[in-house]
Amino acid sequence: MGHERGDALPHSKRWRDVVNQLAEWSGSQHELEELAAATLRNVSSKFRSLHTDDGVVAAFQFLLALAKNASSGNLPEQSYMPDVDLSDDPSSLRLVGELRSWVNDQQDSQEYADIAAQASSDAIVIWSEQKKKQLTIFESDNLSKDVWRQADNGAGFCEVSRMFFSKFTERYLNYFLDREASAVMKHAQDRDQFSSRLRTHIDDVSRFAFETSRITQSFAAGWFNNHARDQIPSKSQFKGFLSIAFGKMREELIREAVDHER
Amino acid sequence: MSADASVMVLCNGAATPQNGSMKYRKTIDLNYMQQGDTPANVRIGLPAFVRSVHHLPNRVLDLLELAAYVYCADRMVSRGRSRAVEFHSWGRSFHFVIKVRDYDFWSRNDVSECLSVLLKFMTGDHQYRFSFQPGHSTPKSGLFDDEQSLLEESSDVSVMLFSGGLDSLAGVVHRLAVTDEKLCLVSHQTQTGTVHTQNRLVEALQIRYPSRIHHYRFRSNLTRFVRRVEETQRSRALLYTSIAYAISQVYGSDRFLVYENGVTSINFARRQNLSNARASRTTHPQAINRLECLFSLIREQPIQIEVPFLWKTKTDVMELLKKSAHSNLITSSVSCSKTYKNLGPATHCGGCSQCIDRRFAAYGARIDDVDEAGIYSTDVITCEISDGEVRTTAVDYVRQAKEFSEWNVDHFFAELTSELSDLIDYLPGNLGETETVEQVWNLCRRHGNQVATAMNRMRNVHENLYTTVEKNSLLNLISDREYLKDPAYRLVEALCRILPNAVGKMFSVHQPKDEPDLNIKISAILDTHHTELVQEHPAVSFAGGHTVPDHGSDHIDVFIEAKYIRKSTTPSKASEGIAADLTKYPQNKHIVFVVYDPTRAVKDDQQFKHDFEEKRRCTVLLVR
Repeated sequence: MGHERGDALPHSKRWRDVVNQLAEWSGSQHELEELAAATLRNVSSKFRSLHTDDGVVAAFQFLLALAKNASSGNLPEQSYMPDVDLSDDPSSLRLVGELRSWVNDQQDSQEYADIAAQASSDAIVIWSEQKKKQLTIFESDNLSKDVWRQADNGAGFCEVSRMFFSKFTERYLNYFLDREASAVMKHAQDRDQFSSRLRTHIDDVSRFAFETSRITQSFAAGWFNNHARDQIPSKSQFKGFLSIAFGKMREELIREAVDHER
Repeated sequence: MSADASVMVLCNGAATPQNGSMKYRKTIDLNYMQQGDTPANVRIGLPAFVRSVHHLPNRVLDLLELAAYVYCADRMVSRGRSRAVEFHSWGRSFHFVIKVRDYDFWSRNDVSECLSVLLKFMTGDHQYRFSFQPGHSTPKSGLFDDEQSLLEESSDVSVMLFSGGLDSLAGVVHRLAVTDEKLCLVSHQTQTGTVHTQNRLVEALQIRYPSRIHHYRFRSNLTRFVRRVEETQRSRALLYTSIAYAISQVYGSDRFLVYENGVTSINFARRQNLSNARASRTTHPQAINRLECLFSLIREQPIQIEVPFLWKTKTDVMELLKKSAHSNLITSSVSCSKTYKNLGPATHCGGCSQCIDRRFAAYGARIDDVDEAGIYSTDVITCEISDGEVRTTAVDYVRQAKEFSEWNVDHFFAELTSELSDLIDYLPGNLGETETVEQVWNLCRRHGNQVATAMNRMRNVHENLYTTVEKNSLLNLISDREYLKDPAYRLVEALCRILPNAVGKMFSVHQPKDEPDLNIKISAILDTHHTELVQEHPAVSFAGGHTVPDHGSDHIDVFIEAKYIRKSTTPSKASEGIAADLTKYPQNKHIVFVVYDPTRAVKDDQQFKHDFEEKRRCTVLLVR
C-alpha cells in the first residue's frame, strides 16, 4: 500500500546521453531545448505514430464533441464520437470523469491513453477557466454550454487543440525525464525549475506551432471548417489532423534546439 | 487489445474452454491440491483457516480461492522491465478459468463484470476475464465444518486488516482504547519475516489487552517450485480484504475496517511515469468502493468497508501512537515494501516510499528517538544516497509535499483534475463536489506542512557546528536553505541579483525614453531569466476598478513596478506612486520597486528604502 515502482530510462547510449544532459543542466534555456529535442528524437518513430492510437484519438475527439454538443444538442449519432450531455451544466470535474470513462472504453495502449486523457483533461480545465472568467459578467443559464460553444469555430477549435497538443507533449516528455531527473540533478531547486521551464518552453513552442506559424493555424481552422463545422469528422480525418499536429509539434521542438545552436 | 497477448489461468483443475477462439500467449495451471499426477503449485491455507472458524459457506470458499489464484498469477507474469522505453508490458490481460462450488452465482455477468472492473482499476492491468466451471468441491476441514457449527454472531466484534505496518498497529491501538470491542485481526501471511512481525505484535497486544484480540491468519503463496517474477503485487488487496470479509461473515457483521492513512490511500502520482497503478491504489477509495460492491453481491446485502484514517496523514497516525501507551511497539511494526531484500539485521530498507514516508512522519511527530535509524538498512537522512532510485523517491517525496503546502485549492484542482475525477465519486460523506475537493486539498496541505515541520526537526536534530552534512544525503538536500524558501522570496532574491546590474549597464549610454520604454527593456531582461513573469499582468481588482502591475506572475506572489526618476518625475512624485501601489496591490504580493534614478535625485538611499519596506512586504531597488 502506497507502493511506487522505481522506473528508469534504458541503459542504451542515446538514453544515457539524455540522463547526462539532465545531470549537467545548468539552467540555460538552450540546454533545456536541446534536452527536449533529444528526448523526442529518441522516441521519434513512436511520436510519429501516436495519431494511430485509438486512445489518443478518443481523448482528442472528446474535445470536439464538447464543442459540437454545446452548439447543437442533436448531433448525428456516430459510434466513434462520445455523446456528452451538457444540458445540466456539468462541472469540469464531471466532464473529465466522462472523458476518462470514454477513453478507457476506446483505449489501445494504456500508456498513451492515460497521457492523452490527462492532456485532454488539462485542456478542459484551462479552456473552461479562461472562458468562465470572460463569461462571469453576463448571466448564464448553462455556463459549460456557453464555455464550450466558443470552441465550435475555427479559432476556438485551434486554441483548444493547441492546449491538448502542448499538454500531451509536456506529459509525454515528463514520462521519460521524470524517471531520472530527481536522481541526477545536482540541486533540488534545479529540479523544480527544470519542470517549470519545460512546461513554459512547450507552451511557447505550441503557440508558435499553432498561432505564429500560419501553416498549422490555417490548417487547424481549415480542417475544422471543412470537416467539423457542419458535420462530424470521420475517424480517419481525426487521425489525419492528429498526424499533422503532432508532426508540427515535433518539428518545432527540434527546430528550436537547432536554431538556438546556430 | 490483441488477443494473443493474454494469459489464460486454469485453476482448480478447470479444463481449457472449448468454444473460445482466443489465442493465448501463455497458459498457466494453478492448483493448491494435487490434480491427478500433477502436484500442487500454489499454497492456499484454506483448510487450516476454515478450521479456525469451523465453517465457511461455499461461495466464500470460492472467493478465497479465486483471490488467492489471482494473487499468485499476478506474481507469475512479468509486467515488463522497469527500464523499458515505454511500459506497454505493464498492463497484462488475464483470462481466469476457475472451477467453483457455487457456479450459478459466479457465472452471473454482473459478478464477472464487478470483479473485472475492480481488478483492472486496482492493478492497472489491461483486462481481466473470468469463466467459471461447476463441479468443484473440497473435503471438510474438520469435525465442525458444517453449517450448524457457525461461530456465535456478536455485535461487539470488529474485524480489521492487520498487516503489521504502522497504520494497522495504530488502528488496533486506537480501536482498543476508544471502544470495548473485541478485535479480529486478519492477516495474509507469506514471508517468514512478515509472519514474525505480525505474530510478535499481536502477542504483545494480547498481553496488554487480554481476551480482546483474536488473530486470524491466512497463508497463501506460490510453492518454491514456481518462479516469482513480479514483486509489485497490486492484486494483493483483493486477497487481504476477502479474508477480512470471510471473517466478518462468520461473525455476522456487515462491515470490516481497513486502517490506512488517506495520503497513502489516495497516493497521488509523484511522477508522470507512475500512471496506471504504478503508484499503487490498493486502498484507493475507488478500489474500496468496488470491493464493497463485490462483497455486497456475494453476501446479497450491503457490506461496508470503513477506512477510519482516511482523513489522517502518516504524521497524524504517528502522533496517535505517540499519545498512546504503546509507542514502544512502533519499532516492531514494519512498513517497508522491500522486506524481500536481504536487509541484514535491519527490518526496513530505508529507501522505498513507505520507509521515507515513515521517517518523515516520525520526525514530524517528534518521535524520531523511538523510530530511530537503527531499524533502517540505509539512513537516507544523514548518509549519502548513492542509489538513484532511492534519491528519486526521496527528492520527489519532498517536492510533492512542498507543492501540496504551497498550492491553493484552485491550483491543486487544476494540477490534479484527472486523478481527482477517479476519486471524487468514491469518497464517503454527502458533501458537494467543491467541498470534497477542498477536503482532499486540506488533507494534502496538512501533509505538506507536516513534512516541512519534519525537515526542520531533522535539521535541529542532526546539524551541528562541529560536523559537516554528508553530501547527497537528505539532510544535505534540506539543509540547502534555498529549497525551503518561499518561492516568492527566492524570486525576489534573484531579481535583486540581476536587475540593478543589468538595468544600470543597459542604460549606461542611452537612457530610456520614458517609463513604458524602461518597462519594455526590463521585460526583455526578465524574459531571459524568469519566463514566469509577464508584462502588464495580472489584472487586480481594487475599489471597483482594475489595476495591472508592470510585471507579474500567476503562480508566484511577486509583482514588479518600475519608476523612472527624471525631471518630470521627482523623487516625491515617485514616492506617491509607490505609496499608491502599496495600497492597491493585495497584501500577499511581494512588490519589487525598480526605481531607476540615473541622476541620483534620491539623496538618502537607505532612508528611501526603509520608509517603504517597513510598511509592508516589498523591496525597493535603486538603480543607476
